[in-house]
Amino acid sequence: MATSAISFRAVRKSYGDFHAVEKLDLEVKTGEFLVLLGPSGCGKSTILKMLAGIEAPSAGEIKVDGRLVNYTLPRDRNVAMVFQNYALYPHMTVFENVAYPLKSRRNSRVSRSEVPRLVKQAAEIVEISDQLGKHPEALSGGQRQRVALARAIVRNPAVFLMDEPLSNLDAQLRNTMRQQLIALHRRMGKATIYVTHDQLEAMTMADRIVVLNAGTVQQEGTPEEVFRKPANQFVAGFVGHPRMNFLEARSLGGSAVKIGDHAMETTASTAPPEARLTVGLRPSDARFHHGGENVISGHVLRSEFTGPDIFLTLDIGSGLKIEVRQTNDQRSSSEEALSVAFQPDDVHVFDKRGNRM
Amino acid sequence: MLSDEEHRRLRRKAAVRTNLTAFAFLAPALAFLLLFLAWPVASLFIQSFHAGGVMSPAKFVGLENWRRTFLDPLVVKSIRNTLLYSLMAIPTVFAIAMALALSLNSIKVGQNIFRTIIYFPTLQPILIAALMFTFVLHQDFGILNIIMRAIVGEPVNFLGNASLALPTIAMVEVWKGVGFWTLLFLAGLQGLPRDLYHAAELDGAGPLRRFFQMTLPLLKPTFFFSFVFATIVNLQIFDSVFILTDGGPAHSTVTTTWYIYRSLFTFNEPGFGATLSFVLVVLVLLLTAIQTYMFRERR
Repeated sequence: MATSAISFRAVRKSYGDFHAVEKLDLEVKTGEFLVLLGPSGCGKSTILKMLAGIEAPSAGEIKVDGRLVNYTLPRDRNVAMVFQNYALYPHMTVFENVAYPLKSRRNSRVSRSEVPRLVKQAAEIVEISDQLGKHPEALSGGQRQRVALARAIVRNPAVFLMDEPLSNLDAQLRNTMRQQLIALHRRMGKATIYVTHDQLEAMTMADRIVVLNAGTVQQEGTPEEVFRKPANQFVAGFVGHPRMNFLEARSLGGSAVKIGDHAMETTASTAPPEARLTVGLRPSDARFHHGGENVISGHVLRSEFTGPDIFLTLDIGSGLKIEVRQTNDQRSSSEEALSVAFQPDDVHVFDKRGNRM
Repeated sequence: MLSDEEHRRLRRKAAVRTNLTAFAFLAPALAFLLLFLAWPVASLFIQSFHAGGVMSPAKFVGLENWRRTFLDPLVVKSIRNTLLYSLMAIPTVFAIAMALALSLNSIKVGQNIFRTIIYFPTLQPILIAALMFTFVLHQDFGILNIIMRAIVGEPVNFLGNASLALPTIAMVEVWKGVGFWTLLFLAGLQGLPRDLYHAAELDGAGPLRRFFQMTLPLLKPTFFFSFVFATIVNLQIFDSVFILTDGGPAHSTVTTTWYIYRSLFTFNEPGFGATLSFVLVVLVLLLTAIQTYMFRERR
């Protein structure tokens, strides 16, 4: 039986009365890129720290390559971590930084004479070969990030942990680093856990996303599953930009709902008539010039031009507003009144407790 | 459009306005500096070329005081004692304070209580501390000698023995200073980024490696300040010498500041004392310069 590279079994972490992580069950396979996604304070970094050995779990079992590591020192876990602020050793050169894990491990299988070769090899992979003699303070943010990566890959660990590694970089660099990180991951073929609060990073990079909130797993799935079928209102609101519209609605029985004066057909399972519901509509799912079925009409309160898109805020009566996205080619002459259609598939229905129906 | 000349005039005016504000705020400090530092130093310097001045009118003697400084064997001895004392006290207090700071940094419960206890000796005036130690060290009923008697069999005359007196003074000063340096090092330790230690731990560094390869090099700025400050303070060692031994026995604890004080106020030789204080200033500057050179950034 193939064991997972990483496994969490009923892992819990509490600080006094505060539960940072509640009963976490999670498996990560070798070669998988798993993203932990959630707002700050959701427990995602705590999960990483427990795996690295920086924090001890309050209960449950953590295994790396099938081996229980709860009581193992960080250095004996065969885990490498890239920190948000890089955590480079400021008093050492880039070469010394990258060589540090090779030199400081006891019982290291790497002989002294091999260190320069391995450091150069790691430096080549992340393209910092010409920076080896410098100190970290002489490097740009992106270069520091690469040094931190080189330090992680040089000792060929079983598992890579990345704690918001791109959050200190500017937007453009983040884009390139995202692609390079994925390329690096494919090349190394190791299990990687990547923590972020940026849903775009999660969507673009992950094989699988675990959405967390307040220490509990909200949903686990591929980026597409999380986006198309959010398990609850939290996930629906957190994933996707711009944010999903949430509107109060009533069930019409069957799978039909009524938002204000607008009746909509959905694919949700049936709710008793008159049940109070919340309907979620993504601004990007709005279709213009459709007519017919599942139409919401309203008048334009505000429009924001962002370049390729225009974001319109519509007043749809009964005190309800929605935001919709219109692409430039769908643009019609400054209309006051507008009708937008949503496919039944795109109408997300949540019950009183926020769970998907 | 204003002319270039007009722009230059306005720019100058704006600059003067900014500087005037700065000077207005600095003026009180500057006045005190001139009145209580520059002026006494200047008159001391003039004094060093004179004899008398307290009981008799001052008399110009040229470089006589300076000549004596280099010939007086007690001057050499006082400088030697001062340096010897510093070499004993500073490394000892630093080592103990570092050990205490590391311990304090790693305990989670009761850190505040221990911090207060350790800082306590630093809070009392050195006068009180030294007087207290005359009792602690007393040959007949001092607590330390009661212990010594139990261990060695006979009491130790800490302050009456020419080879023990200076180390004993160093010990008292270490006892009093350790709280200050512990808190300073603790602040330094707590200012170090925790992620760096997590990274080092993951990279395989054990506690000793983390201390020698992370903590010590990262605390370099703290150590620089500490060495310079400790040198300046310890080369002026006076109070505890004055109370515990008054330079004795057999001049074995004569320090430079003690000799300056005695020359100025007891031996009625203010000119000589003034000269000696300049010698001390030069010594302090020299050592500080060496330390600055040793701690310079090598990048």
